Amino acid sequence: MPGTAMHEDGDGPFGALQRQSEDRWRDALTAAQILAVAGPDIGGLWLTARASGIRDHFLDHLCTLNQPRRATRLPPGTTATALCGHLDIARSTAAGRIVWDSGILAAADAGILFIPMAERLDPGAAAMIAEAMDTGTCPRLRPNANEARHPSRVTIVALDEASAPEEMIPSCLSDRLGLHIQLDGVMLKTIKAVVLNTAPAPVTDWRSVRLDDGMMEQLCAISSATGHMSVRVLHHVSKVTRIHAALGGRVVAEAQDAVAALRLCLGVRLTQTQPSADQAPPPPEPAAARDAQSQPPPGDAGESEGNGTPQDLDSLTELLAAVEQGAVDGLTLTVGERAARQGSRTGKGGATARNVRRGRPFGSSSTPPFPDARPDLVETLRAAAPWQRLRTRLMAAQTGAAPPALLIRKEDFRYRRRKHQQASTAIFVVDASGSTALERLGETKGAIEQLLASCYVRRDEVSLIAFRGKAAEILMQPTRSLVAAKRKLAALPGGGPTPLASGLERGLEMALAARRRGSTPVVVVMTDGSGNIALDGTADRALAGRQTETIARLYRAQGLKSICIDIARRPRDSVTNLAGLLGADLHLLRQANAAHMSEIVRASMHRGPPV
Amino acid sequence: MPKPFPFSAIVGQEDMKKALLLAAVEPLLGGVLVMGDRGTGKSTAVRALAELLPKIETRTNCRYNCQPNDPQPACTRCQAAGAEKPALVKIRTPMVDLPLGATEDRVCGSLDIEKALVAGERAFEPGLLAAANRGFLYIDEVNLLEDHLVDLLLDAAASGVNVVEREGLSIRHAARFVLVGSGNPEEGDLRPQLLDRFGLSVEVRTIMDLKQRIEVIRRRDAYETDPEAFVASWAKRDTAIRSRVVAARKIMRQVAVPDAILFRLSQLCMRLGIDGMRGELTLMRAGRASAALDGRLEVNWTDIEEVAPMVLCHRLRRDPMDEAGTAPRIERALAALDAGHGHA
Repeated sequence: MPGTAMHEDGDGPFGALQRQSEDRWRDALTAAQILAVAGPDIGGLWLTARASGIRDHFLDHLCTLNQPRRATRLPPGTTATALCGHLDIARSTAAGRIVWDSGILAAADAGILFIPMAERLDPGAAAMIAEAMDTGTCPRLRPNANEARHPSRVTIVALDEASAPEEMIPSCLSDRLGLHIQLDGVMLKTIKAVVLNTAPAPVTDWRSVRLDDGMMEQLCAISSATGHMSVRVLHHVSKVTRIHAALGGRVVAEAQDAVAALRLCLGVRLTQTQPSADQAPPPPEPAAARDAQSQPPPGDAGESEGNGTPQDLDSLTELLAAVEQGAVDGLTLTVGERAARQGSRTGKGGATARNVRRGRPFGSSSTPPFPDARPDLVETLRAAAPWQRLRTRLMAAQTGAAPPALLIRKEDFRYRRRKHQQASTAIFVVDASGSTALERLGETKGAIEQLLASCYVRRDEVSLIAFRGKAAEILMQPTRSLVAAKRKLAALPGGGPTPLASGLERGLEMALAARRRGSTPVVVVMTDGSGNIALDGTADRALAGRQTETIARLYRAQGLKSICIDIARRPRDSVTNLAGLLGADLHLLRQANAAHMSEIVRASMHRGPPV
Repeated sequence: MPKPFPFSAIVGQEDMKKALLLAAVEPLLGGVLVMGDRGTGKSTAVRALAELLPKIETRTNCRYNCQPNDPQPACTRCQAAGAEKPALVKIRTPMVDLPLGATEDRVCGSLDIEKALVAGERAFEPGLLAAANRGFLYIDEVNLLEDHLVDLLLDAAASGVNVVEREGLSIRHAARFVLVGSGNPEEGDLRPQLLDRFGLSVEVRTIMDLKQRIEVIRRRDAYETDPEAFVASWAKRDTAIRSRVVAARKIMRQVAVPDAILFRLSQLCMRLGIDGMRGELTLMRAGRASAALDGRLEVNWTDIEEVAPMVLCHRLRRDPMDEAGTAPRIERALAALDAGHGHA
């Protein structure tokens, strides 16, 4: 397989892409095989790929491999009731008594459950699926002591189509899915070149494969070093290592299995080779050394050639060293950070809009919340139920006709009311450059901390962008977590020139992303206004000024609410001009008075966008 | 359903295990909050605990887990007279999972539609609170649960009664359960008002010790390979813990708290600036449970020192940006108290 690309393109950008494509596809196929062997024992597969022919092709292959298991597709927008059982209207009316459907999770028992658009999955539904994965039984919506829980041993395949970094599959799910595969970047050419092996994997008992303590320690060290602290993740890695060995017909797991498992579970792979000193023998390395992106780790070479070369022995040690140097490209490296972000999106919001068309149901009402609302059948039945006997008697007395099975009147109709969170997101764009840093950064940090604490009480989200040196950096995605924010703030350094344009650009992107999520962004720009670095990182004050103007106008054009806080010792015209361009409220802050600043931001958040 | 992972086989996390056992001994403590990273065995421990505890006696198909000799007015089955009374049965300590998407209906109970439609009578369909009576109610990700539900749960947990006034129903039934909440602080905190209604709070961290981590994986793997055999091999140790809990429950009410200890724990709470009496009360109860677990009939200061962080940690007025957390403050206060006591 690797040979086909080599002679054509050798190296260069296209060659690298092609190799990456081949690696990913090969990994995906291995993952499919492992999933077929282990099934629910490793939770499932987290597939990062946009909807495409390639993804469909892979999923078809996956289904073929998993033959006896039935594939079920979760409908988008699935609710907790649909997952765990609900009133079966058709059968209830036919039978004349209440019949409850067992729900998707019970129906998918011993099968594969595909979750399309997993990044949009409702946290409640995700929690239900996670519980089913943990206990092997379907969570019960109706507590009933005399009814055994339905078994639900499902293998989950979560199709993650996230594009923006703040869209993530619920972390309670991603933590439980053993395998993580990425299909983006796989080329059609690669797929055509590889003949799919649909023969079922040789039946081996992977549980009898031995994994010695030394290797286990290394796996443990590598997964910790890559930021995967969860023991659950480590357990998945160890299982995948053994399954990989079993597929290769080995009874003792070898280093190549471990390397493959780390790649398949955590996406840990080398991005660049080691310093040339300890990089003497392996022949394929020098050509690839120039590649910035994905590059098969040494163990991978051993694997594809199917022999245990000496380099195999210390490939794990090498990988660990690379991880510690930060020279790996990890697909799921930032699971922890993502989890923090994900969590902050769910749960409680600040202001909520009631009687809206979408959102979480929170009750029912006898009047339709909006004109074309659909009645809630169960609630309607519930309202009508106590009157049935009376009504049938009344009807029999009045008309003498045999009453129908159910008498529902207009006043019985109930409508589901939904509420929708309209959280506010405060985006701080903070000048950490030398001109302000030395004097004010400490004060500003303190003020932001105070503000964060009050935002937390109000359940608003806060994010932080700092600009210094060559460009702006997103220090914190919108979060409500004090723990995460506190760490990021403490680590914020100061000094260097002022890339104001870049800061504003990042702030704009984040504000628009927040708005897409249905939140109301407020951008708080804290600067002394003297931008001197252009977007491309060059020290061109004139260009930087023009770019700043252009971006600032975009804020106004987008109708974003913004606040400009002048943190220079003496008021400067530059900040006043900037505020004018942004359409921002201008505030001067002689001393970073936290209470005052918090009040300003709070007032802006609750006034909504400017008119 | 396979047997859960044995309680005694959980590696490390001593604080969490201790807090859960204390709550099992003394249900009046008011619930346990377990905050910590993912994959640290929070849910495993809670599920294991329910399996470990002695079985409770009730009647077959009772939806409220009534005590056989003290049936609740709401329970129509156990209220039946004479020969119609259902047979006695021993069931596992109830352990109810509250899913995130739960509605108020399901938690408190609601009108039974089936009975209403078929028989035209207003019957009550008990909810999760009834199912959790005399057992545990476990909420994973309590920090993500809707606020009004958390209020409702804490209220029921504190009062031991569930009151339903809706849809023309007026029902009260016992809901004495130990509330166990867990969550990940990185995903957002719990409201401070809710925090101090939990009796005990422990923080769990991922085990960082290499040997222990490996041991976790090995045991988990052995469990998954052959659950029955694994559970059997730990049964002895689980039984030992169970008999400790049973013995502790028996002597619990006889454990004495000397005045000197009460005096000092009040001093401790004052020194830490804890509002209200709930902290002291819980501290005393937890100390008593801890002594009972050890099989002693008198509380000593070591008991208090041991449980003080769990009881007081989440009651301290929090500085949101305090880097070190609240545990060191309690340790400092304890140390200061010891020094002061020596002088006096």
